[in-house]
Amino acid sequence: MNKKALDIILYGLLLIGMFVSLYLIFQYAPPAINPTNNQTWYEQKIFYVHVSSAWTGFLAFFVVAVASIIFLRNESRIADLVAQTSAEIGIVFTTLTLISGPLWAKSFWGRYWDWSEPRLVTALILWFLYIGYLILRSSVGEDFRRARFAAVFGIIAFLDVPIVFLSVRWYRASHPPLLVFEPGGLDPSMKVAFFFTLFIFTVFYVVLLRNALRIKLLQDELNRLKEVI
Amino acid sequence: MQTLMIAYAVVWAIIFGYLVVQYMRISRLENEIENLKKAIERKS
Repeated sequence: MNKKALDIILYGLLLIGMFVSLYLIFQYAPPAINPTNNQTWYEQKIFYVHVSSAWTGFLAFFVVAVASIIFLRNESRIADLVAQTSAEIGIVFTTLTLISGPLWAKSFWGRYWDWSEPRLVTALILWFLYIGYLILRSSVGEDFRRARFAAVFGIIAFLDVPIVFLSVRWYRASHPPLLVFEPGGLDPSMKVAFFFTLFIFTVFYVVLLRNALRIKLLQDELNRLKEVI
Repeated sequence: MQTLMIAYAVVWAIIFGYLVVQYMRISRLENEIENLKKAIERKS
């Protein structure tokens, strides 16, 4: 199968997946009951995009760390490109997490942000760390040296990901821990909607990464050919 | 809930729209490379 046919199939499946996800979230999964006032809690549906984008951001930063380790071991240009591209995508999904989170919080806590919440603060630090990573990458200096610095930074920055994830268990916090795998945590139909949305977000990440890498490699080839001509 | 549904659809549309832009850029770059390769062949 050639690349174009694969792209068309992948895009078609993603488009269908998006509509299926919307159906599952808004029609199939029932709205939750707000424990603070026992009323129907429609804003809870933000959870599906909030957790899925957070997961995709974490996955992207994990890929940055792995690609950085590979780059430090064998100085592979592809590994360096994967790390840079994955960090860019990770920031987009973490931004979506940081926008959807406060919207959910407003409906539950009555305020958008709480500086005493460890998960919120550590997630914001994570976002700043990877913004710093991209600034480092775009700074002046010799390419290879900069890539090595960025790789080390990318590995160290990833240490914040488990801190974000575990912070609600380590400290007394109002941010709910992920109850998906715990008995009585989520209604079975909510689980279906959640895992399907999570899957679609993950596929989006993979396709975004693949496309961005192809663009960078094609741009490299184009520049090389322009020098020849 | 309708507002939330529209917001979801907008988020999906933005991500999917970006994928389409990426696809168009890939096609354009591939065409440019193909044309340059042909030009180099003609030159040599």
